[in-house]
Amino acid sequence: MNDDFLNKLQKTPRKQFAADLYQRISQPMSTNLKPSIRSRLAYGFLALLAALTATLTLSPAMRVMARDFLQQIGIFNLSDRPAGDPVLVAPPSTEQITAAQATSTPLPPQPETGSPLEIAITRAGILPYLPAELPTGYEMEDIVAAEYIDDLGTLYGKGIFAKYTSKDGGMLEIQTSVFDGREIDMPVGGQRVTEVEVNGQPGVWIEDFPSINEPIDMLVWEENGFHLSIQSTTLTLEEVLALAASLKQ
Amino acid sequence: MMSKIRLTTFFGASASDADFKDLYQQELPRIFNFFRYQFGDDAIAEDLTADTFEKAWRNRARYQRDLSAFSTWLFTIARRVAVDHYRKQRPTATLEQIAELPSEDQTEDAAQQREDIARLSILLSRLAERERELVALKYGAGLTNRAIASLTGMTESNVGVILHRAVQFLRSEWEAHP
Repeated sequence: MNDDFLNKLQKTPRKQFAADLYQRISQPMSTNLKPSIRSRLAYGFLALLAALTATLTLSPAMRVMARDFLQQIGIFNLSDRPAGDPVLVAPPSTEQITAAQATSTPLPPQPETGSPLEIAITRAGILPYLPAELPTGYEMEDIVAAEYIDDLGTLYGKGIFAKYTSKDGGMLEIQTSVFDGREIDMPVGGQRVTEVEVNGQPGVWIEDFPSINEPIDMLVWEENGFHLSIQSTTLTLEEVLALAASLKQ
Repeated sequence: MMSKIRLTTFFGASASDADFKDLYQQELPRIFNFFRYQFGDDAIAEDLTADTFEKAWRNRARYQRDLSAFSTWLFTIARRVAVDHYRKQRPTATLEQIAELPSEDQTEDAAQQREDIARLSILLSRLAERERELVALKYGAGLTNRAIASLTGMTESNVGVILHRAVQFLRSEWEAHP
């Protein structure tokens, strides 16, 4: 196929355009808002949350209605913003910034020794919750440590993510995380959210949550100060609850 | 404030900001030329390229386990951006009008290149939407037939057949009206 004439028309983008665009997209999203406006929004959100909490304790009717759009699991507020929108975290206090700077660990030099689990534990500084028994057909694919960092570069949590896959394409991930106490707004608008009890703790089951490749179902709860999440593409709520019951540190 | 998650390990290595910068430098020319081939105008291509990266970059933290998936996702967004733009603003300018547009680069070669890409854009506008997109992905973005098949959900052989027909048409028109 003689297509030389088509191949020679490519052009390198202007250097200035490339540099300007990279600078723009590398800016934190939050810089689109002035700090004072951000603070007002954060305070406004907290005030709204406080008002809602007060109202909920007083009015059973209001409690039923509010459940339709707002649930709270520990520091996580499940909001009615569209699922897939960015997760929002409240600005850090001075104490939280200081604590984050004190505990933030630079990446250690490679290579590290030990199994992926040992490396993840060393890096995250926590022990993950892992299942005593896996659902049929699942095998561990990887286990990694994660740092939760906001747009100011402040560390606000650490976690360990254990990922399992099955030969027929199923995905299962168990996340064990600890946070610094800042409120986190997690958008679940448009998704089916069911209140459940997980190991005696209140939790939620979120169905068809948008993710990179395909929607996932997610069980979220808190236990012994840890924020726990089980995400799956194939398991039923009953199977995930049984898995949650088998988790051990 | 939006949160980001930075993975600190992934089989002993993680995608860092430097990796994403490399990815940006690698993918920017592809995305830019994908739009340039379709619309024949550098300014439009820059606008749409910026739109694509701005949409994708917000969520790059999700892809720190798989940079190739992020690259694929960039093209998924670029395709949507192109379709939206094409439907909103179907190219109607004549070759003469496009060639007379002011440009920073006034050399003879640059003028010829501008005229050629504008000419190609006009020819592409006579193709079906799918053919036009495949040509831009193949010759603008420089993707392989296999990558295009993966991106569009078509079979590799189907991509090859459609491209062959489209190139035959473009070449005959190109040579008939030099």
